[in-house]
Amino acid sequence: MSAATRASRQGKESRQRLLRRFRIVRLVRRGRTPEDSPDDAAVRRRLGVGFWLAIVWLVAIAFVALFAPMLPIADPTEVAFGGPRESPSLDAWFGTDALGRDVFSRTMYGARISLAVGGFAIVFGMVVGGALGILAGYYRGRLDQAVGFVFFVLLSFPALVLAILITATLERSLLVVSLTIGILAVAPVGLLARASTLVYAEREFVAAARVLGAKHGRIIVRELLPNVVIPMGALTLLGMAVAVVAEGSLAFLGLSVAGDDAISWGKMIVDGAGLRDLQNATHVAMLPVAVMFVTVLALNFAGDRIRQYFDVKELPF
Amino acid sequence: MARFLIRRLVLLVAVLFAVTFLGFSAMNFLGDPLFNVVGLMAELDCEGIEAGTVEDTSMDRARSDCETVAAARAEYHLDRPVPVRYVLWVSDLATGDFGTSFQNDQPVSEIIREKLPETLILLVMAQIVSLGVAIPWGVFAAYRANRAFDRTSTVVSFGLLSVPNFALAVVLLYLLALRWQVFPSAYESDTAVGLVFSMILPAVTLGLPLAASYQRLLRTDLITTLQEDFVHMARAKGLPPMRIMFRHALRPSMFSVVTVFGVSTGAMIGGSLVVEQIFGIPGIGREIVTAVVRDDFPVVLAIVMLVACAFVIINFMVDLLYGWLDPRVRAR
Amino acid sequence: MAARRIDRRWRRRLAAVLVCSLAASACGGGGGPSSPAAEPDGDAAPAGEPDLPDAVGSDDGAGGAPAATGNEPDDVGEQELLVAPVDTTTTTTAPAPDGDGGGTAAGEPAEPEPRSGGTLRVAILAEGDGLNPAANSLSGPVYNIAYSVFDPLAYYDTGGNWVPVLAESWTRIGDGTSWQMKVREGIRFHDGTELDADDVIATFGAQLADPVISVAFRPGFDPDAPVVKIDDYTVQFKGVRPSARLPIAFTSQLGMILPSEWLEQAAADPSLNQTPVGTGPFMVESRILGESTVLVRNPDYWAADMIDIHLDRIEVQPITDSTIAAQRLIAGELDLIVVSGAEAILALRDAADQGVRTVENQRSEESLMIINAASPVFSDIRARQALTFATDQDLYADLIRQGTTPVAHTMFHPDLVWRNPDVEQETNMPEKAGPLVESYCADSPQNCSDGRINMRFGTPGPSVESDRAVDLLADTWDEFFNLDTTVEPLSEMIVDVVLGNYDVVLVPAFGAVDPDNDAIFMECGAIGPAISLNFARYCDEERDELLYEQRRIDDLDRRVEIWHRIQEMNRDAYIYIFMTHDNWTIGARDNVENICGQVSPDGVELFCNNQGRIWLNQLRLG
Repeated sequence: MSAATRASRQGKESRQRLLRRFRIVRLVRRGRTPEDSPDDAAVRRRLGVGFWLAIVWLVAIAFVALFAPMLPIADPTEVAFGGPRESPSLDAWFGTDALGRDVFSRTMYGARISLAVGGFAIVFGMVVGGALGILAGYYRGRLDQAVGFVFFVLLSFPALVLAILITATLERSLLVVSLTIGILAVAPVGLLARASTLVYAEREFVAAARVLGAKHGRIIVRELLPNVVIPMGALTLLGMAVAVVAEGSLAFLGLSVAGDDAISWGKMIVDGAGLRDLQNATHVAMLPVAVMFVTVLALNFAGDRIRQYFDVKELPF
Repeated sequence: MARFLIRRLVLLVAVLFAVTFLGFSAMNFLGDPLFNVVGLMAELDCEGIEAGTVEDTSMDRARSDCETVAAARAEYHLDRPVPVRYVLWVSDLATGDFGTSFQNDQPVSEIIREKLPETLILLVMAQIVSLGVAIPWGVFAAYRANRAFDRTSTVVSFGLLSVPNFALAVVLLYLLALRWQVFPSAYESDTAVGLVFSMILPAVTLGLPLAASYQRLLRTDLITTLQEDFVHMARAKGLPPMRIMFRHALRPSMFSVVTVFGVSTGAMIGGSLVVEQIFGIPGIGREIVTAVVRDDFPVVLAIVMLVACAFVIINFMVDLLYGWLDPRVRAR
Repeated sequence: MAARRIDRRWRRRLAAVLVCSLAASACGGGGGPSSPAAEPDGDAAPAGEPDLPDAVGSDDGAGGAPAATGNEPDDVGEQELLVAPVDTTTTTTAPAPDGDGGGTAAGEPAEPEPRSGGTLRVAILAEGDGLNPAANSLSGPVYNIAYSVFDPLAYYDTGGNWVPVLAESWTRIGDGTSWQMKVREGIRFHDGTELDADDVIATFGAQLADPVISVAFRPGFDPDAPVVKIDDYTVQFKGVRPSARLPIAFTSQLGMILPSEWLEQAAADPSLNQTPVGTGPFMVESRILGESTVLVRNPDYWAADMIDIHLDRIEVQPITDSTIAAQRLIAGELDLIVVSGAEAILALRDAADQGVRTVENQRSEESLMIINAASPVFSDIRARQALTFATDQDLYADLIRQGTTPVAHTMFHPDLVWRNPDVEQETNMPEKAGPLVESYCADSPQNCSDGRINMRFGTPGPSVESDRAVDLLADTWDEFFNLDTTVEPLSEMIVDVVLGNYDVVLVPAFGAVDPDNDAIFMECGAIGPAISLNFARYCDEERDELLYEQRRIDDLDRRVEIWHRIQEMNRDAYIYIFMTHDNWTIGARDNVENICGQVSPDGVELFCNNQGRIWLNQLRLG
């Protein structure tokens, strides 16, 4: 039996409490903390300058990632583009790494894998998790219990450990890594979709459709889906932030996309994180760290603002 | 209470079943199960060797090898139907037989026994660090809610939660171990003091983001608690504000922190993989990454199962604790 | 169950043996990755390193020199030329051995009273699955333990010539197909029993019977009677071809002798393999696999009158990541390590002012590309030539090795007498590669796409260093080759290499103290239908004749001439692309003395730092 089902049968007060607890659990799981409701109210319907700054950064990164091969930047794989471990200069804005490659250009290309994996993973999570969640929330009963259980099991693995179990057995291609991280996204997104569906399935327009003789499929697609997609979409950026970090961690452990042309921030950071390099050529590791940090921060910040803007409530799990 | 307990126990068993089944599936359906248990020997054409149609440079060795493969088939019951295999495998697991590492023929249980203490020390120290940082931080933030300190700490905690673990590790390593040389840059085990000292930096790396989230929870709960009558009462009695915060308001406000303890442990286990790697701590996190790289599947699977089961059980216990703390949760 | 575990997965172990006999660093984690790397190529596998005996010989011939009885090398004048064993960059080596022990070499400078006692803390780059030289294949790093627990029958002097250790004498019989060995009388094992010919025969028999240990040397010994007892202290080994230096096979674990009763016990109870009974100056007190091995001084060491042993204890722990090992040495938590990774070496050098000194040896191993001349792609010499021309070894030396070690053109360091100064490798000429690739692809379009040759490339890893090497080579080859890269632990990669399922690999290899020990990797006879010790699978009958000839003769000039010719042949065959000479570096705290300059019981100074294998026996803590 899923936690939420149980919650619905309890007294109002304890349910509130439980909801709160689950909400906290979810938020922490995603690496965030709950906001105070007054704060929420204050920022709602107002995105603010910070949001637009974050969006500008993200758009810029996405643009660079998409069009990197067409931009007038150095070939990221060109060895001895400059001398090894040169400090940032006008020729190489981020300096060069141990093989004399241009760190700036590598950082730009590194965005490609991060965003590709992040994007794919969250889309996968939304499609699979969303579908399961809506079905579970709409049909309830056995199906709901089964899906809830699957989600619970998926959440029983520490994320990185589950990812390692998968990447340990399969070839580490872009698709496998994306899928792996996508699987991690299924349970959280699915629980969100299920919760939203539970809410909307009780609403009058769904009841009306049912009275009018609409089939289940039609109700789900025409009535529920549009309503459930909005809260899920509002959390896209937050989900991407988690996926980008997950990919980075795998890459840092050498378990992300393999191949000599697979440039990834995590890989770049490992490459520069040897003690001697860290001491003598700090920029090799620190500049990718900085870019990655700003990107994740921007995703989190913009995602949080969007969540508040669309008034997506805390999730009951 | 008994009913609550039974229901939680049933759920626990069901989840453990599912978790082990997932691991079992990974072993059996992702890739060749025989390869996963005997490694390269799975590639031998034993039927051919037996029939004499395949010549190897040393037939004796090839035959003895085929015996090994056959023995492994028997040990892992590879010729039995999948459900039977699963049951047998789980019972092996339950009795502590995790199989044998490909790399050095060491029983996996032995490897885990050797490596686990380091990881446990790291995790415990990280929790200590995070609580040690989060409690005063949360208290001060709540005490002066929405003032400069609180607003800054909101920004800082948001930032901390956005730094990937490995990036934070690299930054801290650079600043504290290389630049200012406060802490050693790698694991030491010569003395207990040295061990603990060298674990501080890794523990801080793991603990800081956690502290940020604990701090946020604590602050929120504290602000609520501070509205309660007994706090007003204490104020009215003229008790010093810090005494009120720590002696009266803190304990009732720890509820959320206790709640997320289990989940945060899971996040920390994931983080410890990275942190053990960069600080060279010979724990199970480092072991599993090594094993993945070497396709040493028995070790990978055993560690994943151990961690997942531990995680499930920790959450179960937190759940029980929670039910015990708050009778309303177990009411139905 | 336990018994099955022992011989389980022999294939992987076999492979490890092969590669370890090829190169010490293969088993020693020589790659030297930076700390956050996933895992160095240091191989904790039950790898082994039986030194190659004279596996194949030739018809009888010049041999007939009188018995060389050891401590007097045949040709004193050549000694310094053969090998100049150590290059001390940061500090000088420790002074000559002190001479207060009875019966040691005469004429040593008077030394201040040696300080006795203390515990030496050592890290090795890979753990072994056991320490029994008759049951476990010892990898390079594990030798650093084993040489303290056992004395080999023979070892090398500083000139690279063999000298007796446990043996009293080695006598060549006739053309050198057979050799008689007499062990010293009165040698006692750690358990108090006396060593005699039966123990030698029992140990040798156990090693021959072990499929993994014997794989590289069994073909070199007479299948019917490899060893016979002459008297209580004398045995006769019989090879299949004449050799002027059979004893060099016994400088490795093959020369480490165990009590025959103990061998029987250990066969029944493999757990004894962790705490073997040897003859050496140290005994295994305790051992936790993967954690630590503690050796304590043997109070009744048989050679105590001849050799000064100072240490009370040696504590050894495996640390697979060489940069971490270096870091811990610099921090003062270790007293001695042996590494070959560039980052670790540089860190050690930088720490000269922190009480660390280094003893470097660039002469005992090479990093090279081995090309599979039997592969569909590279059976055509044009493809091999093109790869050689397109390779930028200077860039590799600069960026991957960071200047810790020079580029190599052949299998010998320029300081060695074997080195043919005229052999220069045709690397760094990409302009010559283009036309070759074009004509190759015109003839073999199935091996090309987009006008580039498709090839598989492998290197041990993953580590930061291996990732960098792959990126660097991929970029420099990019114009002419499409790479399908595999980076995997050496123990796995080597399976494909011995089975011929590869195109090109970048591995550490060669560098034996006497090149005779590397000859097997070039012999036609070592090419099997499945398993090949001749990894390049390139056969040249004329080269074989030369290899056999150099083995059976003593004449140094002729041997040098032969090896010069062999280097030319290898160059012209384009089967190896030598990248750099490896640098095996001993890093030690300043107070560790007498690292080099240890002596045999007869007082002959021994070879120091052989492919990262050193003796800890006579070290002193100042």
